[in-house]
Amino acid sequence: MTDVAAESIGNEPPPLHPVDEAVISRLGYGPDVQRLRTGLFEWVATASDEMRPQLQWQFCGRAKYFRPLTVFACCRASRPDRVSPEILRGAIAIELLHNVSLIVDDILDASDERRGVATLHRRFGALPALMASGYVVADAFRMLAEDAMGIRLLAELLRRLGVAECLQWRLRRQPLGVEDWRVLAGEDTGTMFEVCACMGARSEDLRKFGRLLGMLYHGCDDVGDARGLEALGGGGDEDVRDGILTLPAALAIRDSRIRAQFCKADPTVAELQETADAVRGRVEEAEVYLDGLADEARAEAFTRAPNPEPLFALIDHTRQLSRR
Amino acid sequence: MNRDPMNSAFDMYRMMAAAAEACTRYAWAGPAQGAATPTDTAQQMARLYMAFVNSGYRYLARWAEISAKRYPEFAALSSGMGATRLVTDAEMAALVDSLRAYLREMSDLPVEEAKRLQSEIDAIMGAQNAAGSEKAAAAGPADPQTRGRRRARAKR
Repeated sequence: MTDVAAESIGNEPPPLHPVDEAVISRLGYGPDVQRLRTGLFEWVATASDEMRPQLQWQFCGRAKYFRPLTVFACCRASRPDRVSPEILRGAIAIELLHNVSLIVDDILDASDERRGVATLHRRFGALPALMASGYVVADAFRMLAEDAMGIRLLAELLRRLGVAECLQWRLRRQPLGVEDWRVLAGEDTGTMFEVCACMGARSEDLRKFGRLLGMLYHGCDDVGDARGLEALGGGGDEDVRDGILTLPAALAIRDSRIRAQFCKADPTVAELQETADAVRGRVEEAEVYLDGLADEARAEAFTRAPNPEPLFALIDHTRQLSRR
Repeated sequence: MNRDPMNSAFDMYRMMAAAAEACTRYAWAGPAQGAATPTDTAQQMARLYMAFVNSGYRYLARWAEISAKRYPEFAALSSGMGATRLVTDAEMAALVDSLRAYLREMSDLPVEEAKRLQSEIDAIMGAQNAAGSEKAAAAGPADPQTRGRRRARAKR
C-alpha cells in the first residue's frame, strides 16, 4: 500500500472549503450536499484497496459540487418533495463522471495542480490515473443499476462529451463565430448540465434549461479566464495558444487581422500577445452576451418549471462566476 | 404613437395566447360526476381544441417576438453598408452572427412549440384517463366479459 492508502479515511467527510460551503448554504442545499458527500465518502471507503488511494485523492479534496447542486435545484423546481435516494444516487454518479472528465483533462493538458493540490496523474502516475477513471465510470453505472433512466442519461453524457471534445479539438484555429461557440459550449458543458437537469427533474422538461445553464457556465468561465489574464498583467493564454474558440475569442476574431493570427498554426510570441490582448478587449461585449444568455435561461425556467425559483438562484450564481 | 408593427403584432398574439391559455385552465374546472358521459368527451375535445389554438397563437407570438428583437439589429448593423462607406470585416462578421442566431431561433421555434403542445395534450389526456380510472374503480369490478375486452384493448 502507498503512504496515502495507509492514511486513515476516518468516519466523516472532511469539512467543505469555506467558500464552497458559503455558496452551498446560500443556495440552500447544505443538507443535500452533506448526504451526497457521505455517499461519496462511503463509496471511496468501500473501493478496492488498490484503487482507494487514487479515489481518496480525487474525491476527498476540495470540490464545488456545482453539478449535484444543479440536480438538486432541478428536483426542487419540479416537485415539492425532498431529494429521493434515487436522485441522490444520480447526483453522485454525475459527480463521479465529472471527476473522470477532470482526470482526463488534466492528463491531456499535462496540468500539475487542480484545486490547490497535485493532479491525480502527477501524484500517482498516468497509468493509475487512467485506470482510476475507468474504475469510476464503471462504478457510476453500477451505482445506478436499478435506474434505467439514470443509466440512459449517464450513457448519453459520456457519449456526447467524447464527441464534443473531439469536435472542439478538430475546430481549433478555425475562423468561426459566436453561433459556433454556442454549439461547442452547448455540446461540451451544456451536455453535462442537460443531464443534471433531466436527472433532477426525472423528465425531459428542463433539458433545454440545463443546456442554457451549461452554456452560461462555459461562457462565464471563458470570460473569467480572460479577466484572470488581465489581472495577471497579460501573457499568453493557453486557450489562445491552442486556438480554442472561447466566447471572447469568437468576438475578437471578427477582426480580420486577429482572425488571421488566431488561425495560424505557429504564431509568434508577439502575435499571441496581440491576440490575447484582443480577446481581453472583448470581455465586456462577452458579458453583455452572457446577460442575454442568462435571460434565455430564466425565460426557459419560468416556462417549464412549476417552481422556477431554485433555477433563478442557480442562474444568478452562475452569472457571477465571470466577475470573480 | 409610432410603434414598430412587429412589436404590435407580438403584443396582439401574446394577448390572444394568454386569453386562450386562461380559457384552457379555467373554463371547465368542475370535475364531471359519475360514469363517463358524452359531456366528458365534449369537454376533453374542447380542452384539446383550446390547447391547439393556444399553441398556434403562442407560436405566432414567439415568431413575432424573435423578429421584433432581430430586425432592429439587422437594420443597425446593415445601415449604410456598401452605400456610403466600405463594410469592415468586423461589421460583416457581427451581421453574420446575428443572422445565424435569427435562423437558429426560428428553426428551434416549431420544435419547441411542438414539444410543449405534446406535453399539454398528454396532460389533458392523462387527466381524462385518471378521471376514467377513478370512475371505474368507484363503479366496482366489471363483469368477466367486460374485463376481458378491456385487457385486450389495453394490449393493442
